[in-house]
Amino acid sequence: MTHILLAILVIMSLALLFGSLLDYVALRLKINDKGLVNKINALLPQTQCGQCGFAGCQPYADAIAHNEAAINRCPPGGKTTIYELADLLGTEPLPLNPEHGVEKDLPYVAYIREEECIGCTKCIQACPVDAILGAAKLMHTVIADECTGCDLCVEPCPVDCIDMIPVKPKNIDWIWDKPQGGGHVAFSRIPVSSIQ
Amino acid sequence: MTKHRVWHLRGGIYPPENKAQSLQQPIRSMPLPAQLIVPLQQYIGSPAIPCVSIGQYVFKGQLIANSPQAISAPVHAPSSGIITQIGQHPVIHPSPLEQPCITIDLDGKDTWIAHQGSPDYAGQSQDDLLLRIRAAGIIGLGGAGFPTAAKLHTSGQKIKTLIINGAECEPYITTDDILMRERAADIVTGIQVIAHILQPEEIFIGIEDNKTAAITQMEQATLDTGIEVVVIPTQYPSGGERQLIKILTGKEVPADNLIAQSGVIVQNIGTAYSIFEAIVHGKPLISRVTTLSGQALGTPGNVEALIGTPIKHLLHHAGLDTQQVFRIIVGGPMMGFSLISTELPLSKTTNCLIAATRDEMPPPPPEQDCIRCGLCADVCPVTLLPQQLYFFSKSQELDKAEQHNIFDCIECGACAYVCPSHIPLVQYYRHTKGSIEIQNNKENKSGHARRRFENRNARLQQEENDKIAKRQARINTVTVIAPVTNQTLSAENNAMEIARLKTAAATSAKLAVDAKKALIQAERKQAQNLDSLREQVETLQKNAEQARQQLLKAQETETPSEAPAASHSANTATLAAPQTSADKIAAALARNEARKIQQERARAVTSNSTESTLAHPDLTAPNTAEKASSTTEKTQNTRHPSHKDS
Amino acid sequence: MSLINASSPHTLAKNDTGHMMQHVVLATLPGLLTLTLFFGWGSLINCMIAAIVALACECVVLFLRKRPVAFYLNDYSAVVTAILLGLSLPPLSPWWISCIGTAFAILVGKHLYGGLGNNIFNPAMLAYAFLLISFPVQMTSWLPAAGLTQVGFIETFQLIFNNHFDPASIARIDALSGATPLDSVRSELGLSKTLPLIYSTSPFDGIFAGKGWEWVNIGFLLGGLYLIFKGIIHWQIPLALLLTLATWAFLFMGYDSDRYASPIFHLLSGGTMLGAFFIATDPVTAATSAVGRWIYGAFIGLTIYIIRTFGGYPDAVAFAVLLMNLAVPTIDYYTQPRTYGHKEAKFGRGKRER
Repeated sequence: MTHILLAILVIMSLALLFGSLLDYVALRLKINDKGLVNKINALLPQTQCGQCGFAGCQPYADAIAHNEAAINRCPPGGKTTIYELADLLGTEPLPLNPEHGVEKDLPYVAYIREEECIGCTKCIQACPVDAILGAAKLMHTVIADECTGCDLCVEPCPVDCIDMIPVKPKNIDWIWDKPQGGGHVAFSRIPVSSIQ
Repeated sequence: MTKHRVWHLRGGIYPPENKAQSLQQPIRSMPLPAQLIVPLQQYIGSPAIPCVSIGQYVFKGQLIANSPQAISAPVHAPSSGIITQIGQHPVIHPSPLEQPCITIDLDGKDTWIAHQGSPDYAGQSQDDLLLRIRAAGIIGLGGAGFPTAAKLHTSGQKIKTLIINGAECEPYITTDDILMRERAADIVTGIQVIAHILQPEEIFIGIEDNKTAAITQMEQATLDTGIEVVVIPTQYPSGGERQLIKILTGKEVPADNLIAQSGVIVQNIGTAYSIFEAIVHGKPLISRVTTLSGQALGTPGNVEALIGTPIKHLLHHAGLDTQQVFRIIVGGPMMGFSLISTELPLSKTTNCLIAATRDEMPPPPPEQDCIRCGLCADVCPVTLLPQQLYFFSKSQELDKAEQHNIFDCIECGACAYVCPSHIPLVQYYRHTKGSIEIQNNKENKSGHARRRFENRNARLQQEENDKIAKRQARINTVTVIAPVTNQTLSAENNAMEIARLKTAAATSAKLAVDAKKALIQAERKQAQNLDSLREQVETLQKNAEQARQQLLKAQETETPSEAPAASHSANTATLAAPQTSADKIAAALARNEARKIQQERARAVTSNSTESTLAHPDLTAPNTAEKASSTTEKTQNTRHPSHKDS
Repeated sequence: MSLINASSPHTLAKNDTGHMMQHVVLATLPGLLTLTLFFGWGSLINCMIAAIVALACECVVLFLRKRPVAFYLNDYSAVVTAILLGLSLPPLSPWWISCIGTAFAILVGKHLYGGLGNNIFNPAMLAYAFLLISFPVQMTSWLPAAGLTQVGFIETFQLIFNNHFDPASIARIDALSGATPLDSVRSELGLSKTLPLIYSTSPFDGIFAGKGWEWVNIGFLLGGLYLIFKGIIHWQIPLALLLTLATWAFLFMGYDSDRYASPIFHLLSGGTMLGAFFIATDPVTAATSAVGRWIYGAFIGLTIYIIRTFGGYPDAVAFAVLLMNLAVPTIDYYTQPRTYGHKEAKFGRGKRER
């Protein structure tokens, strides 16, 4: 009988010892806050659109690092960003939260209809990356290469002259499709009329 | 003759060659098509800019598009006719996207533009030869299409070895073989031109041992020339640039370097022939020898085809059987891609067209699981681990694929050729390479956007700080000088009055200055309304004078203690204003002059079509404009010492 | 009539996974034949049972995984696993041993890991180890090499299917069973007998290494050489394995030839040749790089020698292979080849630092 009790005691104390060791290690080697926020920020798409509910990408990165926000709130980043964040933090990837928007399959840029622009500079003040060129009472125009498609400029415009248009893919952006995998063939059929 | 040592290339495969069917006849020419669609984008980078217009008649060999970029090649009309369209058209590319092209409706006369070559290439300078090669629009005809003039422009790098690639390791393709058989002497002249430009210590021509007739012809043509013909074992892919260098010199070009940095330059046989045509005969690159092969053709063989010929036309004249054909391939069976339409034009890099029947190239079996047999790694010429790359591609682990050197893959297809599970490995790698590049672009873009956002925040913060500082400064100066009394109140009223007068004076002064400027310009242009302008100028100047007098009077009636302090900066501003505005006018006029001169020079540069873009016209006029505007900035800064331009 | 749009390369070699696996099955025939000649019909019947159960299990699992059944059955991998397991089992082992073992191999050893190409452990060896530990009595009742006639075909069939419950069958099997050469070497050495004495008694009387077993191993050796000739397996693994095993046996024999068996004995007894050419060379579970194959084969050879001489089991091939299967990812991690144009090979799986 004493043997059994002794065995139980030994096992319990070992469990206690290892458990406390693990707790201590988890506390000591806790994630370094500063570095983590920067790493998270580097993965976000930097559109500063605010769709996640935070005032830009840095505050959202901050919130994620402090476990105050889920990783699935960024529509411009989409599925790839969610997976990268899950990878970095060692958590499960989640589907994009539809409350914060939907993932667009094409990139969009803003376009100002110049005939209607009144030169009020409200959109210039709204653009987080200074992608709109212009001055008071002078024509405003969007520098398409700098525009991230965040659409923060559309609301402030008093004459509603800004459109978000999709960017047509160029030859240089095309890539091969991924083969479908086991059991599938890697070719497609085309009608012979295309060569006659 | 001592044989040059040949090194062994690791891996490789030995597929059936299928070259006999296209070597039955000599090179033949094709009848002229009705229309030519000449692609303007031959290589990565911006397309060439057309220098002709719709409806214009062009001669054969006439320049129709040029590009100011250094790595580009001009485009010439392959036959005479009228330009009917300049716009987007589908071209030979794995994607269905379109590229800019010029369409010429041929008149059938095939009239050459006046052209002249010079057989005495040895007497010309290297730069001259390079300019003429560039002007002829020559690009690498081996398949990659890199502009030859840019490749041969080694800018100081010493070239030890020149290798001419006559290996042609891919099955079905025989263009280089037949060129060497029929035009060996011309090719050797072309090689000698290249050698004159590069001044290498040794020159080799690498030819596979299955081309016995070509070897004989080239050996005869290279007698007593210092060029050595080296016979290499038949192996796929011994014709790849880096692989051929390893076979002939034993050296491995480091993965991150350009090949030229190792002192080696490789050129294709076809390119050497085009250089001969350009330098000795003065003909630009407007046609190339293309192999038409495959069991679905009635008369396969090699043809001299004009660039821009629709593929449909070529296949039709080679006797295409549309019932039997099952797959149409551009390039060879190992690295080429299949076409979904034959309305596409022949480009400068199209070296082969295969129309295969079902028996010849049956559809690929479905993909099975990878059994990790390792045959792919056995045959890879670059010593990669195709198996690992496949697993990483499948699971989208792009970091690991990059670390396993996926970008060193030359996409030769040897791994997919031997795979017993019929996995389309090359397609996986191409997809993954594209995905990695897209990811890198995304990261660069987001990093760039983040920096702009941070700069903007910094600028807004700075403006905030400036505003606060200025407010502080204003509060400080007012409390120090003016205690709150009735006198102060009236003084404040006076100060407001003075401020109003100051604004009025400044505005009228500006108006006067503007009018004077307009007058000067009008005088220069000898416009009609000079008299009315002169009247305007006089009135405005009088107004300005009046305003200034009023201001001075108001300032004199002020108490001396208050006035100077309160309007100290205003006075210096007013006194300084004429100087700075005069400076500004001078700077603006100088800038205008400089811009005019620059435009004239630019026009001179582009009108000379053979001008190399490597020269930099030096502009002295803008420098004076810069100096003038910098003095303006300096005086402006003394006015507002705390305001910094962002 | 239509054209196809496919990715390069547009011609493929005639290699095919199904054909490769068929060749492997073919190559086991010499060994299987000699097993039958010396030890009776048991092995043949076991192989057949195993093959049928394997195909049935594979069908069920593929159906549950919603994969095309006929397409995946065509790669013959289930048949190969079944035959390798059947060859490893004692000839008179009951039918349910073959069934349970094969089912374990296919369901747990292969499909639980993700199907063909994704398993870490060799399925046949995993099943063998599982059976050995769970049913030690049945798995260690081998027959002496008394030829084809000692037990007739019908009687073998009956013995296998009577499940060892029938007292008459049990008595018969007890009467027939004997130890293998490896078994007797181990137990007799434990009784402090010297090797020359052991070699002179049954179950030896053989020319090299135990009557019957030497010919079985030579049969598998011939099959293995056929596979190397056909280019289906890489020669580095068997060579490394056999060389290492022989070398260590030679060294220890030189030290004390009374207590440590000779290299010939080790090479030609037990499952050495089967392990070297058919089990260790299983492409899915072996190391992939060239250097890695040498290391993998060598360490299997070493482990076989250690377990046989100092360990608890008479025949060690299964455990040696399983242990080295565990080590394969580490071996691959450290033995990547140097790519063209790079100065040295890179280590590791590669994770980009952000």
